[in-house]
Amino acid sequence: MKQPQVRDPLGPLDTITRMFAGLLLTLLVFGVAFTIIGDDVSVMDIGSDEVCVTTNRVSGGEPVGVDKLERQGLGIRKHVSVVSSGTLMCDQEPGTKAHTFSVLTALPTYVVFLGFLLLTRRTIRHARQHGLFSVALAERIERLGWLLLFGLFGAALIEWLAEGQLLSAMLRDSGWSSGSFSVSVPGIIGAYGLVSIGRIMSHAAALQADSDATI
Amino acid sequence: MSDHRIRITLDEMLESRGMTLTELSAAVDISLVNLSILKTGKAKAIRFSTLTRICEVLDCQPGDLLAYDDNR
Repeated sequence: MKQPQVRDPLGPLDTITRMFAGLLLTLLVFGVAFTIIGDDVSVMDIGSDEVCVTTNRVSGGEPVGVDKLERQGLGIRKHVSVVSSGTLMCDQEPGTKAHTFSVLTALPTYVVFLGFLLLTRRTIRHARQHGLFSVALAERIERLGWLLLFGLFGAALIEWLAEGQLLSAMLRDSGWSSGSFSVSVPGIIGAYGLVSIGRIMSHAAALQADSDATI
Repeated sequence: MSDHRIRITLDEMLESRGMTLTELSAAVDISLVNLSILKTGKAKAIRFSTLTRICEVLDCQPGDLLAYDDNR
């Protein structure tokens, strides 16, 4: 008689996570490699000839003229105001310091997501090896949530400081310039969800252990 | 370490009735592994249905299978 096939519920999830993490890693490795070899390729401003930063500072100029130009170009109706979302400033001759700050305005979030994916894969493998209902797995999930939460805030802080430093380096009155502080809201919600699920699971795992030890 | 002082006296009951754990397992339709867990005191709880089946086969009361061990 043919034995029924036992389906691994976490198998597809493990494969997708591995593929996604592998893709991000490959992009990073190939990007850096092409940056070193090629001339016009840059990844997260590594190897770029210029470094750019967007600022919300208004440069003076002629707002009426700019407004007119944008109205004509975009075909905007009367009574609709045009607000420029930011000004892109690019340093054509950046030094190592400017390059480093430029990389730091994008790299931390990327590293957090890559690290999160790798840790997720470790958690899935732990679940496949040691079972779905265990306090250890619940603690891992909760830790994953905290890591994502603090990682995203930490990355946003580093990027904010780096952007500020980059702006300061580009402006004549090089006092303290504030960059834009932006944290991924879906990421924070996801992290909070993971922490909650981890906590719920740790209680459920204890109940399951009691149930398992009941004869 | 166990957080209770309840001892399962299944060993004594089986001995007094000249029965083996394997025979009891077949008679009550509970796996030998589970009965071994019960016998060695590794079980955390016992279902009323399990107690009923064991008592039916061994012709005893639930109290005959459980003892409070003060010396642990």
